[in-house]
Amino acid sequence: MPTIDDFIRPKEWVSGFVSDLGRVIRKWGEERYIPIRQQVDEDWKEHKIVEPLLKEVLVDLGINAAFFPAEVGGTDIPDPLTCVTVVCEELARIDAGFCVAAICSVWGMVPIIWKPHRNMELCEEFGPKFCGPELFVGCHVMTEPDSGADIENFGRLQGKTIKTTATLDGDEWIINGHKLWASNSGKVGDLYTVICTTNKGSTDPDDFALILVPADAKGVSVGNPYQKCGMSADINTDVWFENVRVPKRYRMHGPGDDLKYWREAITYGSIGSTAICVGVMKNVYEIIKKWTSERVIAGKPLKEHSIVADMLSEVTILIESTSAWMWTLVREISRPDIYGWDPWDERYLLKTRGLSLFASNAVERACSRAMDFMGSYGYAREFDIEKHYRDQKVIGLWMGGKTLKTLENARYWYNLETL
Amino acid sequence: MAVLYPSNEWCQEWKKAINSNEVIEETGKNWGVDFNGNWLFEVTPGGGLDKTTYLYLEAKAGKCSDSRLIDDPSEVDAGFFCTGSYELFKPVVKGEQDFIEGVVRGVFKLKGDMTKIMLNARFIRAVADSLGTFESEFLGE
Amino acid sequence: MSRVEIIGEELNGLGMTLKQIIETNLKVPDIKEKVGRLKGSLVVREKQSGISSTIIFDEGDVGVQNDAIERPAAFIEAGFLELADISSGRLGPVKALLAGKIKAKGNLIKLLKMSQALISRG
Ligand SMILES: Cc1cc2nc3c(=O)[nH]c(=O)nc-3n(C[C@H](O)[C@H](O)[C@H](O)COP(=O)(O)OP(=O)(O)OC[C@H]3O[C@@H](n4cnc5c(N)ncnc54)[C@H](O)[C@@H]3O)c2cc1C
Repeated sequence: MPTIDDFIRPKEWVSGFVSDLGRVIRKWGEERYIPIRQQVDEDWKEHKIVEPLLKEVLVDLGINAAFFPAEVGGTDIPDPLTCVTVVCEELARIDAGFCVAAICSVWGMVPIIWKPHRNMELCEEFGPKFCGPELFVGCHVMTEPDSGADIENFGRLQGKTIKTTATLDGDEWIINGHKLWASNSGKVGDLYTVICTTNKGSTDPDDFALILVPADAKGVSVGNPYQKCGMSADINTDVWFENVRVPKRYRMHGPGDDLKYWREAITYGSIGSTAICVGVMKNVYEIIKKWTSERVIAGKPLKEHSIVADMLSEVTILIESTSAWMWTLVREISRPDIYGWDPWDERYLLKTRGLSLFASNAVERACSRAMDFMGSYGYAREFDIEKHYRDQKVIGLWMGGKTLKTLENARYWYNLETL
Repeated sequence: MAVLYPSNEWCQEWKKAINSNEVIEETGKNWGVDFNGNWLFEVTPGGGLDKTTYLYLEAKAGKCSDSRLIDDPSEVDAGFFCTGSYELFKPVVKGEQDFIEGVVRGVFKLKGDMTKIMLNARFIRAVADSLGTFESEFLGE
Repeated sequence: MSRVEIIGEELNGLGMTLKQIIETNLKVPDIKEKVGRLKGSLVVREKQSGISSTIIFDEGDVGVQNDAIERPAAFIEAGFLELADISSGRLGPVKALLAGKIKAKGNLIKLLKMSQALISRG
């Protein structure tokens, strides 16, 4: 009988190494995370349970180091986007919020660790921390109190709404601003990738800046975790930067290139979001398959009722179609030699918005339909559909929300001029 | 009847033990097929043995075609050379100590293509285990 | 470079074995490329004997030394037969891990990558 391993994951694209890694994560999850996953919602504020597990994944399994250059103690995984996709799927199958926390540790580092635009000076400075034996977590801070979507809507607003500023003073940047909502903010993050502007109100791409700020730098302060609908394994708080001074070299690449490689990070954010949706849907598939096989209604297993088979079929179609689209784009982006565009090409950013929108709708539908057919049991904490239902909702809402995703996808396909 | 280790009679007993052992036949079917799988053991003095003794074992495809003492190591062509003292070989021949463990510890020095040893580790273990299947007697005991 | 340096005193049997296997493997361009630039240490412990060796990868240079160093990047413990099965490519390290045939600690991704230096091709 088919299992979750029979959903699309092209073997000719995903190396044996990456597949193996997926299996290791799955085993780790079964042993270490699944037994406690229903307690994570109560741990949203303290992360007494979550933090040691985050260390197990980032340090012991080596997810942090996987993407860093070998020279600084990293593993330098050869096909990083494929790896991210599999890691996100496997972790999200266990807990979407935990997956977000884990993968966002390296998300903001993409501009300096990803080939071919590695910034070796910064890798040498921060790599040993990410790759060392202690937990060291990255945090990608973009969203501000004024519209987060506007910040991500660079194609139209070109950074003019970014209020966090970076001012050069001799050999140092002085950072001022207020960010919120970033994954791993609060007490979790050790290093922030701060999206800021060197000229408030400017629409010049050269003024868009990515600057690294250690969480223990003077002038950095954080708020308390927000209590959310789900995603409790991810901590989100306010972060304030008040005249924070960091060395000039902490700007990731400089005028123009910062924006370029941030776009690439956003593209990967959309791929990662999609993989999270697929991972959640795979677990939903596992849960409803078992439930509808064992639950007997009107004299036969639930799955043998045609109306239920319709739902079961729909869930698998959602998984297959999302996976197929996702893997095709992963492949395209990973092979500029064949497809011609660099991974930081704005067209990929726009196209992958469509993918992540589709995926977030798919996972929302899958969770909702599964709950419909599990009755009150689907609504109960014990059977985990309820958890996925709460967790997944934000995947459509983050990174600019469904509207921005819709607009940017349409902007790519129809060349919109005003939206 | 117990045979004296080391002696030509003992070598013959070992050959018999190897050739009647199904595990060796099965696990060794690739041994020595496209490489030199012959062994030369150098047993150095100690524990009752007063001069260095050389034991030659010809092994191919899970069978032993020759096993004897030799005077001059250069008279044979062996792909694997193992050296250790008589005192240390004794417990292995008695079946009390694992030969592979001895190699891992460095008690026995082994020269040869280690990738072949790894590929045929079960065969090596089976051949070593066959030592305990016949009775031996020892110098100095 | 496919020579593996001996660090410190004469190697124990495990170390000699590992050294030779890695030297053979590093002649394969694909393996050399995969582990070539790695930095980190791998402790291999043979279960029955309790003997350990440490393999040090340092951006192309590889060294082997006796005993376990403190806080290696990764650690693996297995019986000789399991080590043999892994190094001869008959048993994938992940499969061995999932089946409980070997014990591993430390950065697992790095372990998987470093273990490629120990797995013979063909
Ligand atoms: C669990 C979680 C993790 C997060 N992780 C991070 C992180 O790691 N880093 C980070 O920086 N932020 C993170 N966020 C924040 C998140 O990305 C933002 O909340 C999101 O981008 C939307 O911004 P906003 O909340 O300010 O909504 P607003 O910007 O106020 O948007 C409100 C609504 O307007 C819609 N909209 C957008 N553009 C337009 C338009 N042009 N016209 C009309 N309507 C539009 C949006 O789709 C949305 O529905 C996270 C949030 C959560 C809940």
